[in-house]
Amino acid sequence: MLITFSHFTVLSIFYAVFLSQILLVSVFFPTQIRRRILYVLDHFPPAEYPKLYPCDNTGSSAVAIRERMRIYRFANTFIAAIGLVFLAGTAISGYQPSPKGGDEIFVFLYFALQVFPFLYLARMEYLQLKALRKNYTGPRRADMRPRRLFDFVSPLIVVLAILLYFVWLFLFLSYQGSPAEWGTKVYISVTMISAINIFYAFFIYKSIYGKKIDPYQASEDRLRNIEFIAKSLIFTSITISIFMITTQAVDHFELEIFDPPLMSVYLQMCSLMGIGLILTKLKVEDMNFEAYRGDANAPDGDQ
Amino acid sequence: MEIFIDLEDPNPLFAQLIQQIKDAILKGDLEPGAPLPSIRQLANELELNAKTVAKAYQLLERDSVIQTRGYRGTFVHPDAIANCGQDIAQLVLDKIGEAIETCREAGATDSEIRIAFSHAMNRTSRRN
Repeated sequence: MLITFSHFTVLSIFYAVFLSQILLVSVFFPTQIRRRILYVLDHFPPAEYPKLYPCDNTGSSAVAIRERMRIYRFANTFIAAIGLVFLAGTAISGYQPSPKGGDEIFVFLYFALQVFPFLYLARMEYLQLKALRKNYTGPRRADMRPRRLFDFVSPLIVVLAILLYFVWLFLFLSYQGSPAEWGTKVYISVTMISAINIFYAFFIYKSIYGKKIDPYQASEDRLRNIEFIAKSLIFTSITISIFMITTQAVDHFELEIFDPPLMSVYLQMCSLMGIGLILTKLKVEDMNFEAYRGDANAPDGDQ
Repeated sequence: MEIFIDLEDPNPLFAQLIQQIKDAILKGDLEPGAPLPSIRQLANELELNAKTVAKAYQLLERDSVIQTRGYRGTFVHPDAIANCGQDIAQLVLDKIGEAIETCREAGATDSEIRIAFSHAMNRTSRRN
């Protein structure tokens, strides 16, 4: 079955979706994250909340964080500019998406570039948490409420995620013909998607039952954090299955010309499930920073 | 409701756990029938060996302060408030103390009491 679209329609969709990727991942999210970090610096300064800045209690770490925020903003602006130049270049050169697909690799590579500043932030956060754990000398605390997966995510969502995974698996394998015809590509795809889902399940388990990453974190904040991780990973698993099923349908209907915008929508959805949920579910205004207040040299249990 | 474990406290870790759970029940922070975290969850959160938490739970269950309902998990016992007041370790100490006093009054030496206590323990162990 062959459905045809005009080049104008195809290009309009591609430009709109790719522009949205540039603005969402390299402009909107970085602005929101930067605003969030600066809000914490302004409202919970090192002088009053020294435990939150374990690397340096003299206040200079706040200066270092502001400097890193400038680098972060510059990196994102630069990457957004590259994206806009790429978009303008395709428009000027009269780019035509390949009807056989394959152009989505450029969308993916650009997204990989967009992720770099987030990795920079993730490294900053990792080092801060490591130092927090190292400096903590107070008593060990535990919440006496039992935690289960369904306290954080609706069972319907979990069932939907599992169901979609099997629907994809069934469709994918049916499309590949008899098992004798399966090539290495089929085994790699099935192993990769299954491994991602197993890793997500393991990560959710560790976040519910595992060690506290931040020893100062209040119980309510920890529960919110677990809810975010569980929802984020389950929604991402659903997104992956839907993307894979859609890709299958696109191949079946010979619509590979839409692969680049489809890849872009998928990557944007994944970033919405991760960063978007952090911004909406883990509001910095709702967090309890009182545990970080006080004299950093005093025993932690004396708060 | 949170519990705290202090590594510098001279009391054993499992005893700290038992005492804090009992205190929480007596203060009303943990009500009879309230669910408790699993051994694995509590051990991971407190960064303790699971055996330490299991030992505390086992002793609390023996004292009818908590109860395990199969796969549904562990709960505060319905009679936990009354049972928290009973200290079995203290009860054993009192009873043995009374028996030692009786033996001494009858003229037995400490050495004879120790040997007799050891024999009695062996005899009951064999029966069990």
